Amino acid sequence: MENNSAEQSKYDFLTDNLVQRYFAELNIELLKGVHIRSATPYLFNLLDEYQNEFEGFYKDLYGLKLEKRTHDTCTYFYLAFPEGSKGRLSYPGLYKELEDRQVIIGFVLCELYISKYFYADKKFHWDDIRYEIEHGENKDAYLRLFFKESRAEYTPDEWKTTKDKFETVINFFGRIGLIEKELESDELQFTILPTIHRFIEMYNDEIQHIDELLKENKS
Amino acid sequence: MDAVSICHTFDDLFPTQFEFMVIYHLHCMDRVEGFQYNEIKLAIRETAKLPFWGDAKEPQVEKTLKNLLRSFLERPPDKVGFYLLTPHAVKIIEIVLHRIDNPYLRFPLKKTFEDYFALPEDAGCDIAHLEKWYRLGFQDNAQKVVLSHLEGLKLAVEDAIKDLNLVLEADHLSAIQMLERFTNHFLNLSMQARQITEAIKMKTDTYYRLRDIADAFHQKISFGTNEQSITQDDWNKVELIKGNVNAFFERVDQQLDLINTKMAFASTKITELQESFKAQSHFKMKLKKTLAWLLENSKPDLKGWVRLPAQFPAKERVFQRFQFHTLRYYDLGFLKKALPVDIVLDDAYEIAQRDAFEQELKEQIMIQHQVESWQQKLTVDGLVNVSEEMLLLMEKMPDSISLSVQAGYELIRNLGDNVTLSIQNELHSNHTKTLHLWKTTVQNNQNTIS
Repeated sequence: MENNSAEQSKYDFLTDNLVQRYFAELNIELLKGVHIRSATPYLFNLLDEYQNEFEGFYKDLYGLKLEKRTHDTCTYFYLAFPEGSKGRLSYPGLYKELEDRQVIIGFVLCELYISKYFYADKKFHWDDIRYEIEHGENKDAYLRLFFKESRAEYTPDEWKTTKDKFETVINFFGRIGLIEKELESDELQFTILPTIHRFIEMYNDEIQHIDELLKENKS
Repeated sequence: MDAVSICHTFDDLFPTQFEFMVIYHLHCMDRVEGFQYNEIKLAIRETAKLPFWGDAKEPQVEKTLKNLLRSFLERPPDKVGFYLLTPHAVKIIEIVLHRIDNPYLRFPLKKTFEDYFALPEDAGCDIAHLEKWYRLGFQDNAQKVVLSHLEGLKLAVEDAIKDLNLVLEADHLSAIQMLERFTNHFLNLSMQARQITEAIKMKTDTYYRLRDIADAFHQKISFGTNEQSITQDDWNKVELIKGNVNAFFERVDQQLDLINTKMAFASTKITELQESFKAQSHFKMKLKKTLAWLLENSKPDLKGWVRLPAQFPAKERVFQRFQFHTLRYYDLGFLKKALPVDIVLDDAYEIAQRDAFEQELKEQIMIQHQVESWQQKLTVDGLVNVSEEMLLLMEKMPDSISLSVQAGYELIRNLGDNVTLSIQNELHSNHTKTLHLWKTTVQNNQNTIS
């Protein structure tokens, strides 16, 4: 009985009017891997107000960690797997691996983000990516990877195919809240959000130990 | 004005980069008396030698001169063989130089505010003085100067932020050198921030003073003091001045907010960098290396995408697919109105139907009576010649062929177990020969036995 009443009080917050109103949307967004920031104030405020309660809820029922981070004056929430486990989402349909293309373009976006370190508004255009491909430090590698060969010029169709590849991944990052795409523009324009730090955090180990990987490659 | 003429005017008014550099070259020669053809030719050749044009082609001197004569060079009538820069050309050069080196930035914003917004001491005594300050000082000078100063400040802040990024990207600098440069830019930003704070204070003071003056004038009208004649018209003028000054200050506020936001973000980042400078700088380098390594070691796959090197893991993320299936919504346009309609009674039809029902009912009753009478006969006599009875019934009621057929049918359908039905190959007909029946009899077996 005691246990029951303890459980009851732990989840009492679910009876709150606002929780009842927005819980379904919040739960779906979090489980879809979306990063919740103040751009959706009703979801963000709910998490902020009941942070401890929601942490307990996702830990008990899903075995997941509700994380809160602040980067570049932006605070955001997301669900993450605990160290070395997938909580109760170990069934393959309930989690996903980042695709190779998402990882590579994710790193390109991180590099762009850092390039505007002191700018409050980190807005980019397809031309910025195209410039990196054509004239950036890693020009040869970009051309080999996205055009299969290095040539003096590429046809508009070839550029369109490459742009489409980037756009597909940018749309994915947009869906999980790491990027905000300009929907009203015909051109590919987007803002990289501070939530991109989540991607950096995922690959923090690999970034920190890149010198070892480089040594391995040389040997 | 049509777009084509605007485009042509634009082409006339704005020089190409090359043309601009030629007129700038001439401007630097600082020759009041003007330039001779050979000097212009030399200026064009010298400009063409500047390293940033890329391909070193021989300049088209005649063509360039002809182009410059459209708006940027002119021939003074009293000096044959000489050319002068037009006032428009000088103005364009000044705009560019002003952008690079804004003269207002040499003076603090606070001083500009003090010089241009300070209300005269006697503004509260006489409306004419207030009007003079507004028309000659505020409207003609102060607005332009302050907006130019703010524009300069905004550009200076943007340049400082751009420089900060360049320092961060400068891989050749040591950590100490980077930190020194960051600190210099940070000091620059702090100075601008202080100026802005002072300017906001000045602006507020000016507005409050103007408001007090307006209140004082209003009191003079309300209490009708005789020290000075204040009319309603005067009061309206004061209100108009106050409103216009306030509207301008709101514009100033917007500009200051914009500058402040940019500076605040950059300052936060500098503070962060100072806190963990070494770690941040190393991390940035490592991120760069990781991207380079990934791009070098990944391969295009068969689908035209990319494949990560085997040593690099793909990380897992929380992902549940949610799908909601709903019935497709069909837009049927406007809903049709379904108002109740009064049904008009068709009396003739109603009577005819009622008669038909009554006739039908009557026939059913008659059939029932007839069947019952035959069943009674069967019970009493033990035998009924059904075909004969049917024909007899028809003789009695010649129009009711269906009545006799249905009565015969009903009798046969409801025969009990102890009754035998016999149909013989012997045809009976009525006298009009409209109905022909095989001889049909029913016999009650119980009755026969008994």
